[in-house]
Amino acid sequence: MKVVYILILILPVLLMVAFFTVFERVIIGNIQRRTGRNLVGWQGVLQAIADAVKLISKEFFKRLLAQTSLFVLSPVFIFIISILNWSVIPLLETAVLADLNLGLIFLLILAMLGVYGVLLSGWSSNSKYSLIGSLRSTAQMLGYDITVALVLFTIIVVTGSLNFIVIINFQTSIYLGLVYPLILVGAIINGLAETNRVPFDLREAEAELVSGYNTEYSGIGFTLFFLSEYSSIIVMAITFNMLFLGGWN
Amino acid sequence: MSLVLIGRTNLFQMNYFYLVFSLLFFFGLILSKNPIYSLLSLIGVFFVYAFLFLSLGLELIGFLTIFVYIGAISILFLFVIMFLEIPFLESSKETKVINLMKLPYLLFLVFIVSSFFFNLKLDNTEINNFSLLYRLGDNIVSDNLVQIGNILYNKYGIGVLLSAIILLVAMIAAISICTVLS
Repeated sequence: MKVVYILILILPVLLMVAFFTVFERVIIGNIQRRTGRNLVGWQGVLQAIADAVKLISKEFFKRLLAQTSLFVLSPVFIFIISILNWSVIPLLETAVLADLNLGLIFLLILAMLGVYGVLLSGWSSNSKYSLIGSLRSTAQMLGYDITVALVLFTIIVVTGSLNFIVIINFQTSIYLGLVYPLILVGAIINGLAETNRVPFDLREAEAELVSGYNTEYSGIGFTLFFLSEYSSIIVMAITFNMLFLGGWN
Repeated sequence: MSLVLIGRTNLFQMNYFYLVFSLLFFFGLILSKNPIYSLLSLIGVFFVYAFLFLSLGLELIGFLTIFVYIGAISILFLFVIMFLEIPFLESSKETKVINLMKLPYLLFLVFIVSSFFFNLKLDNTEINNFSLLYRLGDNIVSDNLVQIGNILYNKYGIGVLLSAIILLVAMIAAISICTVLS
């Protein structure tokens, strides 16, 4: 039964991540007043599938003297970590895989463990750009984990629980985001920093380091990094929705 | 502590496996030539202890073990060790040792995955039958967080304050050692 639920959960997540990238490209293209992505399918909707086929069919390429096992396993690790986030997120009051008492701490732990994938992928690819990029992004992620924890602590103190369902049911009368608007702003800033979006995209650093920690990855390895990055964005959005905007209320 | 629990109940026979795995990881920690791999073995030891706590029903302590030891302290070690110049190991004997080091990870992964399929108890319903942590009067509080908070801030409140002061003094000492008086 749980295996079926896991499959029902994971497959839409992957599809959602794929079409989320298309959605982002639509918005960026409209902001910059250019067409973009209008070739594959109707209005370029199928661009996500074309991208996936292209990325997966590419060759997986390893530098000489790279640490093979860590180099192969770290994108897998970071992908598993980002998928594990979905196990504690309740979709409905009855539809949740693991109704942990300490769900918020579990999410924080996964955010901490995701750092290992970044750090080890940068070290094991035997390249200075990857190593420096991974150290920079690790410093950023560790630093902003603390402020995310501080934001979450206010929620914990107010609701008196770490369980997501209790926190959501606490907000039946009023949303916590309306009660504490400044903390909501802080949470949005922290979310941008955790997921490396535009004002905080030091991790990419295209000018000085080629592409950060995933410079040496190609093919399926890069695909896993990409999927985990966008999955973590959606997880962050859903988490803040549950904490501040009342979830399904 | 785990040995005591094994003596009391038959439910936690699996704890011997955790001890064996922690020994394997400790051997990996000592034997591997590459400092990064030995640190990864240390992280494996922390993971084994975290899973041991989780299987005993102490979910808060298990999570905090991962959070503090793996998420914060080991990352700082990794940060420092990565800047070392590590010689490339060429001789076949040493690479064989490195390949052996991967064994405990594989076994532990298999063990954890199989423990879910064979329905190992990962909740704390049985653990409350004997007073492992603390009982608040007659009501057994099933929440780890409440139990530990009550113990820390009621019974051992002065100890918590003292340890906080010791940490503060240690921090001031570290800063004062680092400052160069000009």
